[in-house]
Amino acid sequence: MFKKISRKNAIHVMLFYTGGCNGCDIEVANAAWSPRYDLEQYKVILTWNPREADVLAVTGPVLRRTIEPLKKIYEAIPEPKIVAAVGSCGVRCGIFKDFGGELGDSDEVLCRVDEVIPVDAYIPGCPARPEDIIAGIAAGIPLLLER
Amino acid sequence: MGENERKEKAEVEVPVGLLHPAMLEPYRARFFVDDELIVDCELTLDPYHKGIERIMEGMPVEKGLIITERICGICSHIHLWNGTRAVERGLRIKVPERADYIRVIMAELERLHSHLIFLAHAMEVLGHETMCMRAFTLREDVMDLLYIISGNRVHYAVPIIGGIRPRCDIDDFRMSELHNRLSKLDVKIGDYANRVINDSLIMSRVKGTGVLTKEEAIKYATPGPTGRASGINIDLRKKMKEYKTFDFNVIVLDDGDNKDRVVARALECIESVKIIKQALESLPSGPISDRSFELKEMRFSTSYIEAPRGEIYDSLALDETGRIRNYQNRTPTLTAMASMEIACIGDQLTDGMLTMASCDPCLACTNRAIVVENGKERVFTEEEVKSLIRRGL
Amino acid sequence: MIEFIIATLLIPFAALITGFIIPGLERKVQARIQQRIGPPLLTPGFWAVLKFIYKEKIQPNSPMPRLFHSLPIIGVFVMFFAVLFTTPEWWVVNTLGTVVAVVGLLKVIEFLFMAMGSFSRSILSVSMPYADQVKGAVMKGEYRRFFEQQSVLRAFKMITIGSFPMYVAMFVPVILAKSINFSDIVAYQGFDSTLIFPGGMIDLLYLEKIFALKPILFTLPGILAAFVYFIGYLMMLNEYPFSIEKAKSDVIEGPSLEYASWARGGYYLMREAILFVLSSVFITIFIGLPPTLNLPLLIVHCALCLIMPVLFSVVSAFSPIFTFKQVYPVSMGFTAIGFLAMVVSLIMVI
Repeated sequence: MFKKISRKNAIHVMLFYTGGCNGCDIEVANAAWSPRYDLEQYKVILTWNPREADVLAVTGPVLRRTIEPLKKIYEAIPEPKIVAAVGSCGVRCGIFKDFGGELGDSDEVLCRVDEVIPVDAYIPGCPARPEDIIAGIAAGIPLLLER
Repeated sequence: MGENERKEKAEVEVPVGLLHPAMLEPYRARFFVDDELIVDCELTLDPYHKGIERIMEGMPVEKGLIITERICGICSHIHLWNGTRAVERGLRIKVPERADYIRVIMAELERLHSHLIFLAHAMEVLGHETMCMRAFTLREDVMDLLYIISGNRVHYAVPIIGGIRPRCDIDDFRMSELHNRLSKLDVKIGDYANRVINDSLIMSRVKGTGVLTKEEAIKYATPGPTGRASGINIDLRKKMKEYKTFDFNVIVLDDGDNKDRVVARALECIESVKIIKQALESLPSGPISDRSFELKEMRFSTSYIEAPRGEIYDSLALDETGRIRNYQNRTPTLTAMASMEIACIGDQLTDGMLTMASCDPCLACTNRAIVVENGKERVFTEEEVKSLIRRGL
Repeated sequence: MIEFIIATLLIPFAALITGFIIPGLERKVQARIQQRIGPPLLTPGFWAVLKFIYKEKIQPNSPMPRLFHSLPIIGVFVMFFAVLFTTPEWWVVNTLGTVVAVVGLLKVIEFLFMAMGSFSRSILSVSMPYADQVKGAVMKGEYRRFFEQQSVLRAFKMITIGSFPMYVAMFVPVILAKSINFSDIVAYQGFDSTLIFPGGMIDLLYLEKIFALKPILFTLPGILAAFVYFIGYLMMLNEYPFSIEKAKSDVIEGPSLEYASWARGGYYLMREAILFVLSSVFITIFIGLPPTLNLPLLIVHCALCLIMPVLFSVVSAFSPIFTFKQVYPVSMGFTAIGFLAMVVSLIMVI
């Protein structure tokens, strides 16, 4: 009982930025915690330490250099944890895999986030709006309570 | 003690990176410290290499230009504008005056939003959460304006070859909204800047740290507001035909420390509001786009624009079917960060991080492949690049 | 004897409850200054701790995981005793109810931060899987230092320089009362702590004792020393502007980076305990109101303990992180003011 209430009342979100275009990153880390939207009033707190986090928000497609750090950081977060893929790039690599010219799509952009780590909440949008991010994190909370 | 002698003394390395509250974007900084003082610093900006220039090879030009917008999520309009501008210059397309005005308005609004992010981020790195939040409050006002004009908070997709998209035209409603909301913005930003400058606690941190002298700035080709804070009087906006009708000042400061880099951007915000107000007052009527052009083979065409962080260079060629060939893009953060590598030497580690943030790094656009030969980084010569291009990259 | 046991159980419990509120209050005040609503009062202090306790137990990246995990528990226990040393029922144990004993315990806490930092190896700096030492890279650093170790160096500097103001300020009441015993300091300010138990435990009449107090705070050396104590309080807690030890902009969280699940809950508890103890000691020695077994008085004591965190969150909302360039002169300056207060109090005593 206390377990669920406590999890509901304090959610630490961590942002890992695997390589989008800065758009979602700023919408997550800054706009959603700015005085206008203020996620903290919904008991969601931004943290930069994987050991403290419950929710890992990943923005951007997984690149060659960020795949290993992403795995490590995911491992570092203690259970229960949920992962939210933010933005079109996080959800399905967005513009970098969808189309390419004669040389094909990018080699550096490896794969979607959910091919590397299990993703629980998908927050689409290019970039995802702060309202969507709040809604997405809210959608993930029941999963967090169940585990 | 000469610079080289000092560099040899470092024994301890503090690697910072990929994931850090002060950098947001993944890059790796290795600080070589002597206790608390930075002796040397190495930045690696490549974790983020996405190969956008390569994706765009052989893409239809209008489709490809949308990707240029996704190069960066802070200065997305500038990238798209510059790409379009390069095509327009190459194909000699005449852009209607009204479209140019609206492009300028968007660019200046974007400069406001970018500089406000910078101010907020600098204050966050400084540890001053209140000022950070105040800057974000101001930024949300600007985001509203951008949203009203374009319908999206970040990727606006306003310019199109020959003009601007019809949905981004400034009609009467938008005009009155812009007038209303802009009227107080410069006063608010001015108040904010005043508070920052008069706060002695903040000033004790930023004054005299991260000094980049004019000589160093010229040597490292420091672009944009970062260079202007070191006394380089270059602003591409003064040379662009789009900005000819507007009256604004170029902010040039002399000290080149973190304080100047913060203050320069705060003052530039006020200049931007001035430009937007002028543009709104004298917004000419007429068509917003001229789409009566034909895509044909185009030789190498280049365009330079003053982005919020400095000058952006785009160049591309088109083949006979209107597909992009050899898209090249050079963004300001590359040289800005390189000059910060020098500027942070001799400071405390905490100030070093502030110096890194004070050039307003935005690495989404910056990442390059590094050529390493025989253990040394190397820059391609012009001939080598040409031969690579001839071989089709 | 019975009052000794009841005090041992009840007063730390009251401290715990107050401690749960303090971080929330701190965040709330800061959020209000930043023109936003901010988290509910209990979220950062209570629910977060409970949540961490329910999380999966993991092995930290540390050369000595067990010792590393036990450090916050040691901290909580040390602070538990520090609370008890200021309660009148414990003053029967000779030489424990003294300012010197509390100073000693605070030194242990300062040391604990150093120990935490040296046993921690977070993923965020050196062990981040990224090819640093490759061909072509600058190869000067022979030793690669973790964030935590950098923060240990800072903690060491803060022990030497940062704790001066607090200790200087704590000895001003000692000089005035001519004794290091809390009982004498409290008696000097007119508080009669005897004979509360058992009759006066819930007696509201004891509240009149507050109005009979003549706090040191309202004398000239007292106000100077209180000011210095406040700065020392910020330094001891490593809060803004003196949070160089856990500066978010370079070492992220410093010593506590590697704590997860229940140990992180313990770390939060430890911080709350330190927050309470430092405020409580202030109330005891500067206002003369120790945490006693009389419940109304205990509630007043706990309420007064909330004032200092509110003040410090206002200060920290308006200040950036100080580097050592600023910390040294600030600390020296306030130590000087502290010594001035000492001199003034000496003159008053003589």
